[in-house]
Amino acid sequence: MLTLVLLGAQGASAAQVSPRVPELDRAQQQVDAGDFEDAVVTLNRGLTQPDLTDDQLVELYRLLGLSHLYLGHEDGAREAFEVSCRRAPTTRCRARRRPKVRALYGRIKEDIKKRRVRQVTLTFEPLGAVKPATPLVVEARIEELALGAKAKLFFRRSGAQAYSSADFTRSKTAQQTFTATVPAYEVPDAGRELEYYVEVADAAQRRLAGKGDAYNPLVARVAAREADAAGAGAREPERAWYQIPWVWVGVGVGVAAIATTAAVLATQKQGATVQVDVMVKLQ
Amino acid sequence: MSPRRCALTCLLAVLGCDGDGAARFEMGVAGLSLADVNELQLSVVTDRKTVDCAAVTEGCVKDQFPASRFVELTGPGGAAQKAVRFSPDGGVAVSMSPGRDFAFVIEALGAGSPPQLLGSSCTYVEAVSAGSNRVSANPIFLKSDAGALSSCDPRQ
Repeated sequence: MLTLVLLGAQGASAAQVSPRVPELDRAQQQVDAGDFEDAVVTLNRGLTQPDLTDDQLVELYRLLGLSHLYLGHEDGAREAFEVSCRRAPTTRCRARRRPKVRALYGRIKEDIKKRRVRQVTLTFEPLGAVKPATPLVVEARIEELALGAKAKLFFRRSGAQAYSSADFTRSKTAQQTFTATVPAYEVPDAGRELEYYVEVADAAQRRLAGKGDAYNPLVARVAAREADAAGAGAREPERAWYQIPWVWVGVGVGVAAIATTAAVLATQKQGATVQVDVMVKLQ
Repeated sequence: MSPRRCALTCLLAVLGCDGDGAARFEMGVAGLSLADVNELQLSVVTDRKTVDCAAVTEGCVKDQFPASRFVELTGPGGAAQKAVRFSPDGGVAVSMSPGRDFAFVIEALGAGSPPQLLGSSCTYVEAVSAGSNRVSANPIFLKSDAGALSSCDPRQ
C-alpha cells in the first residue's frame, strides 16, 4: 500500500517532487494496525495540509473511507470513497480485495454510472501568450459545482515562492462558465512567465478537481509589449540629420525670421532728435 | 514855442523818466521788450537752397511756403505737427526724420490774440543725422524802437 502511495506521488510530481505528507504514512500504519479511530483523526489532519497533490488526496480519502467502513460509519465511508473515486482515474477506483470494501466500491461505481453522484468537471483551456501590464481574465467551464465548493485560480510570477489566488465567479450569461481575473500589477513583465493552476475545492478545502497543482503548475509566457514589438519590427533605418524634414523646417523658419528682421530694420525710419537753442535779443 | 509851453514839455519829460511813467512812455512810442515775447515757434523748411533767409524773416514763414515744405516735428507734447511752439525762456528738443538741406525758422509770437509776429530768425542746417543733434539757431532780434514785425499770425 505504501508503495502504491509513493508510486502515485512520484507519478504526480514528474517535474517537481511533492513534499511527503507524514499524516499519510502515519494513517497507513494505523490502518494496517487496525487503529481506525486514530487513523480517521490523522487523515482529517492530513487533509487540512496545503498543497496536496491529486494522488495524495485520493489516497487520503481512500484510507479515510476504509477507516470509516471498519468503524461502521458507512455514510462517512461512502462520502470519502466518492471523493476518492471522483478524483482518481477510473482504473484506480477499482474493487479492493476486502469483500466489504468491494461491495461498497461497487455500489459507488454504480451510482456514479447512474449519475447519482455527480462528479465535478473542470474544462479549461491553458493560457496562450499573456499580454503584459493588462488584467488577465481566465475562463473555465465548471460543471456540477457542489454547494459550498469554490474554484480558484492560483498564480505566481515564475521564480516566486508563494502563489496568489483569485476566485472564479460565475458568468451572468452562462451558468457553467466561470472567470477569474489576475490584476495587471500581478502579471509579470514582458518576456517573463506566469505559473498558475486551477483548483475546485469543497468547503473543507478538499480538492475536487483541478488543472495543475502547486508543484506542477501550468506556465504561460508573457508576450512582448505591442509598442516594443512594433518598434522592433518596424523601426525605420536611421537617417542623416539633413534627411530629417523637421531640420529643414527649423532652418526655414530661422531664415524667414532673420530676413524679416533685416527688412524691418532696413525700412524702419530712424528718428533724429534735434536740440535747438535760440536767443532773443533786442536790437 | 512860447517859454511856458517849453517848460511844460520839459516837466512831462522829466516825469516820464521816473518809475511807472517811464513804461507808459515807452509804450507810447510802440517799442518792444523781451517781455513782450509770449512764445517761440520752430518750423523746419526743406530744400534750403530755395530759402532766402533774409526774405523769410520779413514775414510769417507759413505764408511763404506750401505745407509740403514743412517737416513734421514732434515736440515735447508728443504730437507730430508742422511747427512746435515753446517757451522763450529756453530751447526746445524736437524729433524729426533725418535728412539734409534744412532751414530752421524760429518766430517770436506776441501775447495778443491773434498773436503777431514780433521777430524771427532763419538758420541753415546742412544735415540732421539719426540720433542726437544740436542746432544753435541765429538769434531773434526784436526792434526796441518799433512794434511788431508783421501783423500776420505765425501759428501753423
